[in-house]
Amino acid sequence: MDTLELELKHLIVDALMLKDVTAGEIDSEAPLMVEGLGLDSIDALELAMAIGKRYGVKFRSDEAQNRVAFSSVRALAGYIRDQQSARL
Amino acid sequence: MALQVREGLFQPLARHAPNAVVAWHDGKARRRDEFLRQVASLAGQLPEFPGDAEVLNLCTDRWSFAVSALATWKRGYSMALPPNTQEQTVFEFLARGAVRVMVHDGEREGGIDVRTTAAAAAHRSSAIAWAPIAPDRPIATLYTSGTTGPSRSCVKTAEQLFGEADLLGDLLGIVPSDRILATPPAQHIYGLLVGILVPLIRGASMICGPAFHAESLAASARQNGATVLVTVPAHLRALAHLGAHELGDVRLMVSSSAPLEQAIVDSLRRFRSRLVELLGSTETGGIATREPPETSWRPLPGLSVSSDSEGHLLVDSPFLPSDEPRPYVTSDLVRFQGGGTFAHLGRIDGVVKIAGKRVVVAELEERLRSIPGVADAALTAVQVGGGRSQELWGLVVANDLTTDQIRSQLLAWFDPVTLPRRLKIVARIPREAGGKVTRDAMLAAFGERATRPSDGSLFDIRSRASSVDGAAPSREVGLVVPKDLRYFSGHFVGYPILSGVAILNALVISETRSAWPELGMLRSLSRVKFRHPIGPGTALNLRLRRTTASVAFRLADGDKIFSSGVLDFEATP
Repeated sequence: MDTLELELKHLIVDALMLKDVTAGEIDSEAPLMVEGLGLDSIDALELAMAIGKRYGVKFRSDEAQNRVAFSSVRALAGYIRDQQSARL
Repeated sequence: MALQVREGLFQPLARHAPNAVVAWHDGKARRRDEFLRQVASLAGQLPEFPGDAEVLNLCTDRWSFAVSALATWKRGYSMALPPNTQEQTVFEFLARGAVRVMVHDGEREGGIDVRTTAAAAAHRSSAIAWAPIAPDRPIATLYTSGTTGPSRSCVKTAEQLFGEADLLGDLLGIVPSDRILATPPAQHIYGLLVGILVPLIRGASMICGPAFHAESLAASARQNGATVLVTVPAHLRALAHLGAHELGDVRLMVSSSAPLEQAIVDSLRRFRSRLVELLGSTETGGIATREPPETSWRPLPGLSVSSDSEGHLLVDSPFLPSDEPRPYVTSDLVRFQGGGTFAHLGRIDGVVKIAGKRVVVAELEERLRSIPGVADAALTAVQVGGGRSQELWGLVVANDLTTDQIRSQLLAWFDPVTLPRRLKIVARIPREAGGKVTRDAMLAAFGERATRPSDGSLFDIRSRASSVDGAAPSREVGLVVPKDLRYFSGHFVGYPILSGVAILNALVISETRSAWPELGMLRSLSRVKFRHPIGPGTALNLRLRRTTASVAFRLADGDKIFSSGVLDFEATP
């Protein structure tokens, strides 16, 4: 399995203090927000802070792009990789 | 109390010069002319209805919202503002007698999409005739979750809303050159007043467009030259990782809906903006402000506040609904301090604030139980800190439903943030003989133990002894106040260390619950006195005496009484 995706799943469970789901149960392609994992807007703010802290990644000034980045674990991993390689 | 109404106050845009900027969008100025053309165009589209008809305003963009509001008023309607814009909530509003039209700016079936009206308005004249709005005319009905009914309506007149916006404008020093960036929805009293009406009344401009994550908020602030940021603690918390200059020229930050934690206040310092916290409610409007490091609340000018013998905050204000008795008795517990200021101790009516959003636990429980297939349900609020501060956990008895199905049912009615964060299907709710569910039983069902003084007291407990004194059961606790007082600072943010709040919450109430876990919800406090400050290292004796659902407490060192009072709990079966 993709290491970054797995790391992100652990980060999601830890940072959002999810108690009824483990990292292993999160599907990389399932929607993160409301209808999938059930995260809400406050989770999105908290998760953005945690990702910023861990990976030194910033999010976009355009909310439509941020919604795409937060659509699934896979999308988030892709976003983080793009941001990191753009910095190199 | 008469409200001083200024000349021109009820004439919308009276303080905007003919070519003044009303809003900013992607760095572009949008002027009074364009605004009024769109207002005229939308007003022309609204059907004529006699009597007290309402327009349901669901617009999320502040420009669309403001255009709709003014068109609504121009046409003689009042505006209905729902507690959230979830599907079932909207259906329920459309079924209401008074709502004749829905306006929106999103992907919705039916109603008027304000964005298409805007496009059609380009060639219209902006010369529209404005009859000033009569001060006593109802112009908006806000709905909040109520402790008794599904939602409580709160009718606001032009005088109340515009008068309050003008007062807030004075207090915040809003001038025409100010550009206001707001995050709370305009359907909420705070977002309506500070995000929409303050700029409209004061000749200032509002910044439009979505801004949610810290980066997009900062980008919008810089691009549009924001001078004022109106938001809530969850967003201010997220600004923590921005650089000191990333917010551009923001000179003032306004926060409301929940108290700001000290850590957030500290991290905001580097932006060098004035920070104002606003305390208020839909029913009362604004009540008080404070500017950290100030910890106590200062009533707004023109309001008179006091408290009754049980510590409830009483408010008399020109912004109260005209049919409410004065003074208005709030569900807030306060303690008055010097110079008319007060400390806010919390609420006692089963209302919890989740990320600043007001949730009536009983209402959500009721909705859970009404889902077909749900036989029983119970909720409890749990402190979690962070941007959310509290969350709800729920137990549900339902044979053929999954928690996802239950969640999606609730989602049709409530803001996603306020939904129970943990839901568990159980065979039965652990109710006691009389039907009550204790918090401990709820937590136990989730495999969590309640925080007990024995395993988590903030105090150094030396002894606990129970006895029966006459007919009254009592408990004596010997304790020492820990030396490391910094330990408290994160727990009772904004209050002096070992304030009355700390004593009541961390010691008296927590020891009472430990002694008698069957006691119901705390209803009120009476005769509470804090006689002497309590320093680190002090050895104290806490005596609790229970008479049915009341517990008298006395905190003393020998003959020296530090604090005493009575806690009244909901009667237990």
